[in-house]
Amino acid sequence: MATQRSRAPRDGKRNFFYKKKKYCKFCAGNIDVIDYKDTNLLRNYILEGSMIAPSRATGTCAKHQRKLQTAIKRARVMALLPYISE
Amino acid sequence: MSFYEALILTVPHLTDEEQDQIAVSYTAVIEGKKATIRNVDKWGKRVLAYPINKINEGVYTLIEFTGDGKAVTELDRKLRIDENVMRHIVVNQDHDIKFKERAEARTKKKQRPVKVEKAAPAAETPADPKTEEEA
Repeated sequence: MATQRSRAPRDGKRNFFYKKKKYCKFCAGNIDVIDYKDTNLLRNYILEGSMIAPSRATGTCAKHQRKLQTAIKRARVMALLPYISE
Repeated sequence: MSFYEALILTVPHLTDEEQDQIAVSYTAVIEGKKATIRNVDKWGKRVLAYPINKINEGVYTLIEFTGDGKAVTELDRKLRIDENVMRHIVVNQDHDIKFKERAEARTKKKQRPVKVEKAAPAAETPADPKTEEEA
């Protein structure tokens, strides 16, 4: 968690491990409905092995992560998204 | 009465006429249960994300309708029997519509206070420049 916090460089020293704070893109964009048919959006939240990306990696809030989860699972059933990819 | 949406994935090797017939037959099933159809969207042939029964392609059709649970159970039953249907899903959209309305209301609220704030401090702002001038 400490690495996520943005810290200003002190005493003229450069902070090489500076990281931008993550935020929920759905909260910022005021999106409350995540459609399972919108595969272009859902593909941003899938890892290489087509696993659902954890919220700690993407910064999505718990409320939207739950909706994302159901959307991705529905898309998988309809063969819009893969269960596994090599 | 609530809003529903059915996505049907059918086998690709049928002719266009047969594909149309499938869509028409299911709209008839829905209308037979006193539900009204809002929209029928044919996506056409698409490559599947993974092969189903060694088939790599499929034809998607999206049917949006408003009705009650009886229409959904009947549609679901018929879709399960049909051999030309590979996958299907019926989703209730009531919550989605509610959330969309709320999101729109929130964006409107965000825009409104700008006008209100301008009106309130308008009386105060003329006083401020004087103090600045005196200083």
